[in-house]
Amino acid sequence: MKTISLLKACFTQDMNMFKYSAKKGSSKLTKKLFPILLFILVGVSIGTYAYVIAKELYPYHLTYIMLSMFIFMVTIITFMEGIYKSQGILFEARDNDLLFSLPIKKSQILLVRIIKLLAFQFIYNLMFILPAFVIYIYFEKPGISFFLISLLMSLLIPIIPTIVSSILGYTVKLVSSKFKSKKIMQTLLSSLIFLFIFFISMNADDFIKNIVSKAESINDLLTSIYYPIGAYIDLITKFKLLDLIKLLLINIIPFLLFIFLGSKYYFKIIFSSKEDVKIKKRFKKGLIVKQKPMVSLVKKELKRYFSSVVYMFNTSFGLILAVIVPIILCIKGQDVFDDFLIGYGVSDDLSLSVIFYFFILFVGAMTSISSSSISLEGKTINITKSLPISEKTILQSKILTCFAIELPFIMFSDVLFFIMFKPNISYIILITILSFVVILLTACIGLIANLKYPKMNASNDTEVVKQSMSSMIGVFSGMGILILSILLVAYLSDKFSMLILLSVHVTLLFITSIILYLYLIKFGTIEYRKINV
Amino acid sequence: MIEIKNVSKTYDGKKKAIDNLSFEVKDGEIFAFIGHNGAGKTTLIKSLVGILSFEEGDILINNKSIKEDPIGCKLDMAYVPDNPDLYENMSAIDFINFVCDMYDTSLETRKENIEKYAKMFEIEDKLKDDISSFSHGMKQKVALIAALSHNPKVLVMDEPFVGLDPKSVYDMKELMKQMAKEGKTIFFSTHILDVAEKLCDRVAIIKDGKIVKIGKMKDIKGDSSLEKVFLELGEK
Repeated sequence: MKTISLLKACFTQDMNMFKYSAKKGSSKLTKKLFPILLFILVGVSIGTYAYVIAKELYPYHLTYIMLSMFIFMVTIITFMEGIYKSQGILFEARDNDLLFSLPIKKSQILLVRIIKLLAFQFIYNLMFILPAFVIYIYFEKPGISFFLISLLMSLLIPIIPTIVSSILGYTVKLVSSKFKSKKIMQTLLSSLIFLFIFFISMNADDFIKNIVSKAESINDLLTSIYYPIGAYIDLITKFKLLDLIKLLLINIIPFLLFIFLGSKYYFKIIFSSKEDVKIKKRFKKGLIVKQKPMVSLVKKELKRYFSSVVYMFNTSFGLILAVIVPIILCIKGQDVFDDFLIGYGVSDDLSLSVIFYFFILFVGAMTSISSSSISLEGKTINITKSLPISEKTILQSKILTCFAIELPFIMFSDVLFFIMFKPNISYIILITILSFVVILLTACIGLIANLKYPKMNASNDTEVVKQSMSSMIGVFSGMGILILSILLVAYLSDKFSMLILLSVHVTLLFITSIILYLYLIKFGTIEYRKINV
Repeated sequence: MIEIKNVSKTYDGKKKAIDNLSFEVKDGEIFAFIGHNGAGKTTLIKSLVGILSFEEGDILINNKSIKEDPIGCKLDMAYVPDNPDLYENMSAIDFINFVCDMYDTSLETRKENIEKYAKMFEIEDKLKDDISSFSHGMKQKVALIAALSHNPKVLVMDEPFVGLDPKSVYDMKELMKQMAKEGKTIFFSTHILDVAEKLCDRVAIIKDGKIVKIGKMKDIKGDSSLEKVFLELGEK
């Protein structure tokens, strides 16, 4: 009963992903429709991909392989995301004091937090797995047992990867707690694990591409690599009660074991981090310094950014690539890039300079820092609002923060590329302008999204950074711009020279950024003022 | 000087949190705002310092409207919230410096004030520590030092004595008296009626967003105690 009450309280407080404050006269319909539209948009894109694969497999009665591919992909995503989501939800929850003071068993607290983590993963996974189910139904027209087993499977998918990633998250937390700069170390270790898994996944690419040609044997292989997928495919093709029980047990037993063993060690970590009070050197007069309000505001934003592992980690992927890719290019030369492109079926005739242009766009699109920056202020927004600074200055400081974080990485990438490949001056100017424009564009989009969907009472940073509507809009709109840009440039590439095309493209991005910036300054300031915590 | 003119504020267009409030607090006056939980004290204070917007009326700080010139008003003012949700990832001195930067406080003024108030509240040795390691009372002290370090003309505080140790409460009361003597305006809400009774020149009692009694202490309580008057008004 206590667990149910705890779950109810936890979900009421935290699972308000689509919650927003309905203000009198605000565009409620737009705010409700936008998330649905976004969900549909992503769903349709995934569905189209699933359809293309299923269409090839259907004539050979191998449509189920498409399903196993998607479940495999979702399992990997859940695993990768779980590494840092678990650190936020399990170890950095803000309701520790409250829950520890109540007469609740430790295992109940851990159980509720794990269920919360699983629920978030489940919702996220649905966006990918549901379209695959729909496409399978469209081709195979299965019976009622498929629906029941698939429903069960979609609930089971997150369990094992979440548990494994939580153990990794626990290890990262444990190791980083031994270091002086814990947060930086935590981000670094998480990034290393993340990159390692990413590297393994990339190298497994040939293996995935062979699925169509060696479909049946690959499915057997998938089964031996990850049993639940094979068991699920067996169940939907020929139902056996024993297989169903095996599938359930293989998921539930590790889950219960994790709760039982985890509750013994989990709290030690939490208590040790709580007791870790920093004693610093004596205060000296030299510490009193004067700075311009904007500099001080940006520094405040930077401190917030570097204080949150999940915030850093969630926005660092593109930036890390911005450093790694040109270094690899420098060391291994252009050949590695050509091989990579051919591997993805992209023509090797495509100029490296065009690819690099879209790479910079990709880095910017992947890095949505501002979409969480207002929500992460939480109740401290009242301090900012009570100070003698305009909302315009506050929003500008958040944009400048994005520049302060992203620009060094992107410029590093640019400069290395310029040195290595010695492009002409017009291309250098183009890339430099793009580097600034893409940061401004994503910063404005992120802020507008965050002002429309603020989440000021989150119980941990993960909810804001990973599970808020604004962060989703920030990332997906960036990806949308990238995909649209590629399609547009590809479509027009025969008609115009590439340099003209890219110059027009960057001009369009610049105009869009300026329009969004002006919108932000005119209407965003009003929205900021309205936020009430 | 604070002038509150026919101010009304509703939440979600339904419940009136404050209803047509009008009064003023003069320079050199210590004014307390008392009321039950949910009476509208924090809403008025948040409106007064520019955190919340309100639909009707206006609030003037030294003859400047908070609606028309919010920054001008805030430059004259300092605010200490009831629950000091400060920037946990900053050290105390970083936070105080940050607030001073926003007020463009000169280096000399902030040095003088930070040292004076840090000594008064006995947290000199803790200024370099992270706020996240502080207790409620310590955070309250940091918020107070940040508020006082730029020499505000108007000091607005929401439950300023909650969480403070007895010595700090005493020092704070003395400081408020001193500031009032210097002609500064002190406006605060409190549940501690004893403090209000001994410290304030005037008080207002608020109930359901409306002022039920306002005036000089002796006029409000007469021969009774403030606690008795407050409880009687609350029951009506």
